[in-house]
Amino acid sequence: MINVFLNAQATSFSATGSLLDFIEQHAGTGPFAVAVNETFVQKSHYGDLPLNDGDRIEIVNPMQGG
Amino acid sequence: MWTLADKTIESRLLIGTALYPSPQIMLNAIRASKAEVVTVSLRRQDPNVGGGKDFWAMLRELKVNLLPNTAGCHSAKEAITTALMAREIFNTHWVKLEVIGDEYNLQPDPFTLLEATKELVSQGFEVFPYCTDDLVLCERLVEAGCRILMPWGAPIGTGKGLINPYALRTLRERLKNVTLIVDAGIGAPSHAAEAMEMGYDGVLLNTAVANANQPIIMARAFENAVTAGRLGYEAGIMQKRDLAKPSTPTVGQPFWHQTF
Repeated sequence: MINVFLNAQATSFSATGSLLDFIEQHAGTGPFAVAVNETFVQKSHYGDLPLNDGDRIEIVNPMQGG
Repeated sequence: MWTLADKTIESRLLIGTALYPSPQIMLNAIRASKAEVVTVSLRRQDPNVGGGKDFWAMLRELKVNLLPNTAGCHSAKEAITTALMAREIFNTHWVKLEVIGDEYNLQPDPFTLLEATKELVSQGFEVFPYCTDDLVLCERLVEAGCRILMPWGAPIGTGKGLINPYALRTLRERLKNVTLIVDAGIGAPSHAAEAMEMGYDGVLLNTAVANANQPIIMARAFENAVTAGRLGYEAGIMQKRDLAKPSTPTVGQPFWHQTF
């Protein structure tokens, strides 16, 4: 297992899992986008990206704004 | 009708989606405003609010053009990443680019704003930079590829109106071919009309409508003010002068030069 951060909250994850696996476990059903270590990751690349210990994953949703 | 980036629209009022008393009031106020461009944002996933699904459904119901912002970003890196995420979620290459340089008055950071603009333009974005009214900054943003600039009227949420009309007028005079939209600081419908009378192409606001006692009525007030200001600009506003001049013709006036 590795330790990663999802939206600044520590969580553990399989050492052999990809971002796609992580997203399938943690993303909601609404529209979302993802960044890892402050870098945007396109949906089509989730499966190509292994996660490493200490990675910071951001999952964002649509929100009201001005 | 007028052209905003690659769209032809009717309304010159752009409106935000935040701070309304309820989602339904937001929906009704936006409809009442007749705005065709609304600003939206991104925030961390919160399972307690359903991942933004309800808000997303409302946006689709409105059938408007979405302008995602990068509100809250303090670096070019944050703003660029946020813009890329917004492009994927909202399926638009438009971005209202905000990079805050000062926490006290939420003043845009001109240096990082320009840096982020260059990168986003190179990646195909239509950048709507939220900027100060500094002429040189605005010229640099245009050189970087911006066709639209959004100088502030006053700091976000203050409702002070156009605190530097001279600077805003200078931008209009010097950047004749750039779409100019006053963004932020608008508090009253008269402020919006003032910007439009200057020849600004549009006005973007949020708090003045959302925080009004009657947001839906205020949305109508702003819609009318923007229309009135634009019509006034197109009709040609008279020059001010120091001496009074009678509006009623003096020729044929009874008792003219009558002496007692």
